[in-house]
Amino acid sequence: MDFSGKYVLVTGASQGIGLAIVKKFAEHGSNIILVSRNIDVLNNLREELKSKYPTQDFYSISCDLNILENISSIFAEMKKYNITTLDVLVNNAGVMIDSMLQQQKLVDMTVMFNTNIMSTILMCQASLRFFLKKRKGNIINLSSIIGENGAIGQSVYSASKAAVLGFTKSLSKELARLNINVNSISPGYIETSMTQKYDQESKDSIINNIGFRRAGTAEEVAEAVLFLASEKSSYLTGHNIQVNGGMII
Amino acid sequence: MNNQELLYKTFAEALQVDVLSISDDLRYQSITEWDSIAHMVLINEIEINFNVIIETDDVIDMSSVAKAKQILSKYNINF
Repeated sequence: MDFSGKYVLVTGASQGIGLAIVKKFAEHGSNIILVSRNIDVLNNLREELKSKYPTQDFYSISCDLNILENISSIFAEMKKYNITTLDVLVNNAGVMIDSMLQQQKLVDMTVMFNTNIMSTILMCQASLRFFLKKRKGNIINLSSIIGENGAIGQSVYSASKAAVLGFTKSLSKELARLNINVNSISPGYIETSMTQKYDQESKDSIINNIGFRRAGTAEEVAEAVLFLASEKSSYLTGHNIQVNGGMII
Repeated sequence: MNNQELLYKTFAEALQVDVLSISDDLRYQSITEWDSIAHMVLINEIEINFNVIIETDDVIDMSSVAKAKQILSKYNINF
């Protein structure tokens, strides 16, 4: 898959699945706009990528997607960098704050909804400008197995990720006539900092429910993202790919 | 090309109709070509051709060619 000359924007680019997605696109020739809260990590990543892939362009843009008013600043910065095109938008940034509903604080609910779904909606809305101009574009939204199946202590997180699925399906219908693909990915249990907080007993219990009897890797999710962004999936829209090792079939 | 000609041309290209069929009286959804999907394309083409960023309220409000002229005047585009 060749992404030479393509511009890809990835949110939540500094760690976990987002970082794996960035590395995968870089390997395949993309220019990448890296978005994350952590500008220091992002700047280091940009330098690392630039030294490894000197002919490609990498841009780091700091933004806390929980603060929705800040989202327009991403596109203002892109303009400042003279980026006038975008081929692929990957809405990966996500926050999971576990709690039984009775104890879940409103502030945490708001952070999850803002980051997981509202920022996804606003990023899509702002990116449309680029895609409409070319009558071509590719949007990939990261949902979660929890958004489909639910989990104890994750009712609000689950609701925010289920919203990603509904949004993706509806938007794909709106944009199909304009040759814009909109799909989602629901990762299952993936080894990242988000899942490292589980104790061994919980991890073992989860893994026993996975067909492959192992956690997935961020790279395996990134491969699915790359496929959805490529010409190989040109006739695929409104679809959700479950990358969960057979946890749900 | 003056602004009126550019606006008519923009409408014609976005809606994929003959420029001769564009007039100030043309209204949103009065022809099959100007539906909600084409409206997205139209707004985008207007933004590119006139180098403006149209506010969401104005996107919703742009219900005719005449209205488009009125809205664009807010962005210092005169007809």
